[in-house]
Amino acid sequence: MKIELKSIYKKYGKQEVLKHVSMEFDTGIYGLLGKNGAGKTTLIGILLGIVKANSGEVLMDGKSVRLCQNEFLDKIGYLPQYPKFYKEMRIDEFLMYMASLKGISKKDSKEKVDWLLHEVNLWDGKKKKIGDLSGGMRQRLGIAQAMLNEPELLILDEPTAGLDPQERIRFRNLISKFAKNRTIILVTHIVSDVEYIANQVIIMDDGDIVCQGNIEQLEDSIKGKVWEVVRKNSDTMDDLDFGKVSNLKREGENTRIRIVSDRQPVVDASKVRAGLEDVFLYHCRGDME
Amino acid sequence: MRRLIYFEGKKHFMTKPMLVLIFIFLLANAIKIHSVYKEQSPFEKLSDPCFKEVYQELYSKYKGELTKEKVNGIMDLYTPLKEKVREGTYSKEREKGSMTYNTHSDCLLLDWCFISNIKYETGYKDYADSIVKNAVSNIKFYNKHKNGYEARKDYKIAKAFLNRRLPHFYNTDGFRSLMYYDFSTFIILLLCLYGCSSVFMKEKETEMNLLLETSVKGRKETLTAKVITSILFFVFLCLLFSIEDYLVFYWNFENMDACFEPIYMLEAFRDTLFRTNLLTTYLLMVCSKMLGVCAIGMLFLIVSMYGKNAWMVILENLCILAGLLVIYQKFSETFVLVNPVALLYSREIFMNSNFINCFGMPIMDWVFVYGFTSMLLLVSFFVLKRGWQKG
Repeated sequence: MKIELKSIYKKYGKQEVLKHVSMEFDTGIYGLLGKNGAGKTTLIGILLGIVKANSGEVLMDGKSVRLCQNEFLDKIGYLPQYPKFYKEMRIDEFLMYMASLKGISKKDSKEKVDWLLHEVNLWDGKKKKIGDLSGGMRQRLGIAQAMLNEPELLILDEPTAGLDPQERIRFRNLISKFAKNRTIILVTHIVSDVEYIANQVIIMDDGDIVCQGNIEQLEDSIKGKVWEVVRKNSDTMDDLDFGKVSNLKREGENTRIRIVSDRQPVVDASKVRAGLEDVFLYHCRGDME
Repeated sequence: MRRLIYFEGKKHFMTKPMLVLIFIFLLANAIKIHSVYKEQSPFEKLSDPCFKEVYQELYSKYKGELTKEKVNGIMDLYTPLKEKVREGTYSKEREKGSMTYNTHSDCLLLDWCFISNIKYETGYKDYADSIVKNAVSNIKFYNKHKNGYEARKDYKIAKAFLNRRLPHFYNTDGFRSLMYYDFSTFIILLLCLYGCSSVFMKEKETEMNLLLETSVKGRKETLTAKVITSILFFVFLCLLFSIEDYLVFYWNFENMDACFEPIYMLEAFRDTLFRTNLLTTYLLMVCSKMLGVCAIGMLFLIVSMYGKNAWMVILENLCILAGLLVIYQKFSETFVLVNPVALLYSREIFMNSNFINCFGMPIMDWVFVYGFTSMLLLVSFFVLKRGWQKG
C-alpha cells in the first residue's frame, strides 16, 4: 500500500501548524521525528482522518481516502499517544471489543486475540484488568489492538514515552517483528527509538519537513559538520556556542564536548562521524542546552 | 452490531457500581411500597388481625358478578349497622355477635371495603348513560349549528361511554395504589442519569475516541450501538421496576383480582375515554413511561456528548431533570403536551383525556404527547449523530 500526503496545510486560529507538507509512505519503518509541537501528531491526525486539514489531500494507492474511508480504516492500525483504554476491562475482553470495532468476526477475533496475546507476551496476564497494568504492558496491549486487523499501515504515536529502558527495547523488537510487508510510521521525539529500527527518517520542524532519507543519507548530509572538543574541567568554555552542543561527557578531569556546526567552532575541534541525534539537532532550530 | 451493543452495555451499564445501585434501589422501592401499603390499606387502620379474616370471608362471598342478591345481602348487613352508628346506640366495648370488635368497627369495615365500591359500581351504568345522553343531544345541537368539530368530539365521547357497565365487584385497593405510585419512576430517572453520564464522556476521558474514530465500526455503528444500548437499558429499568411494583403491590395487598375489569372501575378514572382493562392500562402506562424515560435519557446522552467531565455531566443532567419536573408541575396546563415528563405520570393522560382541535378533527391530547416525544427522540438522535461526527 502506498500512502501519499499532498500539500497538507493546517492552521489553528492564526497559527500555522502544517505548511503544505507532502510525503510518501511505502513498505518499511518510517521514523517521524520532531520536537514537541513540530506538527507530527496533527499530521498523523490528518492522515487518520481525525483532524481536518485546511487544504491538501491524503491518497491511498492514488485514491483519496475520503472516498474510500472504510477501506482505508480497514487497512490501518493505530496506537495513540498515552493510551488509557478502559481501566475496568480485562485485557482479553478489551481486545475482543477492539476486534468487533474493526469488524472482525467473532470466530476470527478469538484466534487473533489469542495469537496476539502470545506475540506481545500478555497471554499469562490476559485476565488482568487494564487499570492494573504497567506502562509497558499497556503499550504492548496497545500494539496488540492495533495489529488485530493485520493492518498494512501501522501508526504508532510516541509508543515508548514513559517506558523504562528494558520495556523500550522490548517494544522496539516487537515493532521490528511486525514490520514485515507493512508500512509502520513511528511518531516520536526520541531519536534512539528510530535510530535502531527505522529504514526511513523524516524530521519535522515548525510544521514543515526539514529533511528525510535513510539514516546513512541523513548522517552523510551533515558530514563534516560534527565536531568534538576535549577540555579540562577547570578550563573556561566561554568560547563555545552551547546552542549547538549535542553532548557533554565528563571523562575524569576532562570534558568531551560534541558540537554541531557548519564551521569549525574552535581551533582545537576535530571532525567526528555524525549520528542521528546530530542530524536532528542540526535541522531543528531552538535551544538544545 | 450485536457484539458492539453487548460491549457498550458492559462498558456503561453492566458495571459493578450500577448493579449495586440497582440492587439497593430495588430494595428501597420494595420498602417504599410496603410503607404505601401501611398508609393506605384499611386493615392497617383497623389494626385488629380479625378484621382481615372477616374481610376475606365476606370478600369471597361477595366478589365476582354483582347480582341483585349480593347487593341486597350486603346492604341488609350494612343498613342496620349504619343506623345504630348514626343513632349512637352501640357499645364502645367488644360486642357479642359483632363480626369484628363492635358495631362501629363492623360498619367501618363494610363501608371502606364494600359499600362505597359497590355503590359506585352499581351507579356507574346510570352515570355513563347520562354522559351518552348528553353527548347525543350535543351532537344534534352542534349539527344544527354546523359546528362539525364539536359534533365529532361529542360523537367520540358518546362512543367511548356507550354501554359502559361495571357488572363485577372486586377489591381494587392494590390497583388504585399502584396507579398512583411514582417513587420507582424517580429511581429509574436517577439510574438513567447515572448510566447515561458515562456513555460519551468515558470515551473522552480514556481518549478512546481516537481509536473509535480510526476503526471501521467505531463511527456510525458505535453511535448506533450506544443509542440502542442506552434505550435497551431504559426499557430494562422500566420493565424491572414496573414488574417489581406490580409484584410487591400484589404481595402487600394480597390481591389484584380486578386486573381484567375496565379501567373505570377505579373511581378516579370514571371519566376516562379508554375502555381498556386495569392490567392493560397498567401496561400502557409502563409503555408510556418507557417512551418518556427514553426521551429524557436521550437528553442526558446529549449532555454526556458535549460535557466537559463526568461530574459536571451528572450535575447538568440533574439540573435538566429538575427543570423538566418543575415545568411539569408548575405549568402543567401550558407545557404538558411538550414535556416528556407527562408520559412518566401518564395516569393523568388516562384519567382526563382532552381533545385538541387538529384541523377540525378532535384528536386526543395523548396522541400529541406521544407524537411530540417521539419527535424529540428522533431529533435527539440527529443531534447525537451530528455531535459524534464533529468529534
